[in-house]
Amino acid sequence: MNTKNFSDYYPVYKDLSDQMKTNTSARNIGVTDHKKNLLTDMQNSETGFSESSAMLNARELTDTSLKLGFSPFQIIILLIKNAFEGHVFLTWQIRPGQLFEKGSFLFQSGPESMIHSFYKNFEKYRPGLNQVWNLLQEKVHGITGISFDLMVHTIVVNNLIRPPVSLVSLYDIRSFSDTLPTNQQAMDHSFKMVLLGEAALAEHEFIQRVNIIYEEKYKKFVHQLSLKEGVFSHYQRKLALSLSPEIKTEEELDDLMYKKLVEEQVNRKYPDSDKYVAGIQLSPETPESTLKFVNKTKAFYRSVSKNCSEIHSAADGESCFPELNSIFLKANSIYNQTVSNLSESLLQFMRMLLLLSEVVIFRKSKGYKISDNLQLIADFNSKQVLPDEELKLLHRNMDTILIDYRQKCFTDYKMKFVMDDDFTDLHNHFLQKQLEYIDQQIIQIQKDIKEVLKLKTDIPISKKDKKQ
Amino acid sequence: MLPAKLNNNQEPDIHRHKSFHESLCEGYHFEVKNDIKRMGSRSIYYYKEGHSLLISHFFCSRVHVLNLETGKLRWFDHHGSTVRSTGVCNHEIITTSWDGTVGVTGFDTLERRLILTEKGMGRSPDAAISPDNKSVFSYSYDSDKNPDLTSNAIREWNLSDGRLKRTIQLPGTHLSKRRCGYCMVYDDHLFVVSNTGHLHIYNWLTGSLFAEYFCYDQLQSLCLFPALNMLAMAGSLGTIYLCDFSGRLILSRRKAHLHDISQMFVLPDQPEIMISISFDGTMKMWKIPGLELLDSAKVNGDRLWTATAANDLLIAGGDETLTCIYDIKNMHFKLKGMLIFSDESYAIITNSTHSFFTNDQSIMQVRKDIDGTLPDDQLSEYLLHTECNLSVLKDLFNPENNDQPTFLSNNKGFYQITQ
Repeated sequence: MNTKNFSDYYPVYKDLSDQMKTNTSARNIGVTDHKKNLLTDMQNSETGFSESSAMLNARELTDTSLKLGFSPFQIIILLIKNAFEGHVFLTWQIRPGQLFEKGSFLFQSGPESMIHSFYKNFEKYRPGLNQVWNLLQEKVHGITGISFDLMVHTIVVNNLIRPPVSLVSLYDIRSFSDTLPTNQQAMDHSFKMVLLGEAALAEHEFIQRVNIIYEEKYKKFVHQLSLKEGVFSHYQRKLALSLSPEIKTEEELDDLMYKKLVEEQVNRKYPDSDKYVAGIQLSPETPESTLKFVNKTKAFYRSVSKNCSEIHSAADGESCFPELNSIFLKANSIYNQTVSNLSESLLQFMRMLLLLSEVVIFRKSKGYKISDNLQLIADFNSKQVLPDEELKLLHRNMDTILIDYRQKCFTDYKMKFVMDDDFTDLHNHFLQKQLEYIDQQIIQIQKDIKEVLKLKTDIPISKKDKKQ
Repeated sequence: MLPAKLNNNQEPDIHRHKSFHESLCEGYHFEVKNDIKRMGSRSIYYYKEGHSLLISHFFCSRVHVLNLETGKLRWFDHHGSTVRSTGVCNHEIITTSWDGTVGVTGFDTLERRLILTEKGMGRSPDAAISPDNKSVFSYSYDSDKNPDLTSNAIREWNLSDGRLKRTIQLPGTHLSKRRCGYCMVYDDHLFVVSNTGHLHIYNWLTGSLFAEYFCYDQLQSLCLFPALNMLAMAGSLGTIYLCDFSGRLILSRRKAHLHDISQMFVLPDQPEIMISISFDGTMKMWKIPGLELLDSAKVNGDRLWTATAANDLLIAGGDETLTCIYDIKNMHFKLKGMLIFSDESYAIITNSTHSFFTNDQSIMQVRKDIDGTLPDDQLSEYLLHTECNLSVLKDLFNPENNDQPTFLSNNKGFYQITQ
């Protein structure tokens, strides 16, 4: 089950390959003979990763990354990504190349975020990362006095695992000085939020994907049913209006319907749903924890928009850049959704973050320039401790949001017909029956309307008769 | 006949059209397969803050936690034997068990934090929480564990660290054919009834006895009406004794049930309405202080052990494998649906048996109404899948909406595809 258009994960081998290409072009514009030989050696080596999805061990990766000129901060991110890729391979036998193609979510009998699974098992990988950090400190001068824990925590809570490491090439590792006071409880809470956010995002993506695949698989019926649902709703409304005391004839009824339709169109602010309003709207009492996510979402929304600028700047941009157009529309839809509590703001943030990862990976893969100033590291050494009660409420509310969404989309219902091909024919058969049923209902409701109007015209006559 | 008419306010009053899936499932009903193990309910508790039901079962140490919003079923098996009572304090689940322990389990994590017991502690049927939420009082049949002891006991445990603060040996000889007992706390009063026929009222802060009353009945349930300065107690004879709050004066007594009254409680938002359930398989609704019978319902043929109120619903269960859900908002019992538990699965079926939700469709089957036969496998599976709907659970327990027509109208129908 996979129809994902955009990759949401940029694997280590691609980061290395990109850097190698950058270095090669740098070589062409004049690098030392020594470096030229080094690059040639690497391209010819057994771990030639330029076009394959080979996996490296941590030492090899450290050495290679150093040779390619990655910053120590980028190397640590690469090591975490490498551990993630190892986790994915050991757990699901998925190689980095497949991860790049299919994304970091598994869509089988239910949703699963591979990143969530990795973070849940993160402590298993921490000793290995600590060892390589010690090794790196020996090899690179000037990276002493760094709080490794704070650095790793920052990488995790800012979700730097998904996008290419080239985006953080200018970040100074000395920001993570071990003299900075940290708050372990706040760090634990942020980590729990990341876990919750990833799990919620997986569920949300799953629901959306089931919708998309269902619509694709039962395209013919979905379209027809959608049209007929519209017609049926129209007549239901007409039947309701036909009962108004002042309505006596079909013409009056049609006029009233038209009037109501116009009123509705005039009063309706936004077409999709009353959940949608222009931009993120918040009440003055919005708690700080919610505001934090809202502000991060705003920043990411701006970054996504900047990275979709071609659709506005280029002639016929929407047609020439359909992928960017699709991302831009999705960003607006996420951004315009109202958020009233922490769980909604966290889910909104996670969705925007995923979209940002997708757009930068898309641009990187297509060779488009990525807009600067992405503000990827928005959460640095936060000391905000969420009260336990609020954390529990966050979990409960998130569950409720996702269950409601799942229910609204009939995900459990559609899932079977998406995944179990044995039921495709039977479902098609019943969808056809459903169409016929709606047709009958429409005919019936039309008769009902006529009956109502007829009854109304009959009543005065009978009353009159009685008087006589 | 017209599908629509004007209502009293001269506004459109539209008859609901059947959805496609309602018409599809017409002529069929849904049920739990006969060979599925079903678990009777020993204790049911509605935890409002978590909008969840806690259910323990017969001859089984499992406690199920059913989230009524999400439909998720969780469970724990911390005890070695039947869990006799469940409750919640400080977002932790308090359980008492026939294994002679009281368990304190985190509601969110379901990890056990405390096991409260000591060497001489016998089976524990019940526990009460102090008003400050700092202590739990366990009732236990110590006489049952050690026949040399004639007395049952109440123990006060510190909920923060599990320390035993006090043991009260209950007066009287508790060795009888049937062991039963119950305790409740109000202000500084600890009320205890036992199969000895005694009502004891202690000052739980000092351990001193305020009052004692005796009747020739094996008392096992208790209900307090502080606002009316009254309490009710009942036991094996099926008689309800209304007593003044001091425990010294019986105000009235009434034969209410044919057999033992296993539980009595006041509806949370209606302090003058009391529910009693009995081994005679009935439950009754009473208006206090006159003990006026408002309604009675025969739940099933077997003993009723437990009931709880959840908003406008009453959930009652016992030896029978069905746990019944009644609407009680109009001061009478109206059956709405049934809950069935089986190890890791559960199902809720509406009274009409045409709608259901389960977390495991393999425990369900569909039958034709007309002749009781099963349709072919693929059609059965299709119908089961089509009709299984979380709204059945969610809407029924939604405090603002537990009317069946509403949740049926929200069911999959015309609007299933384009969401």
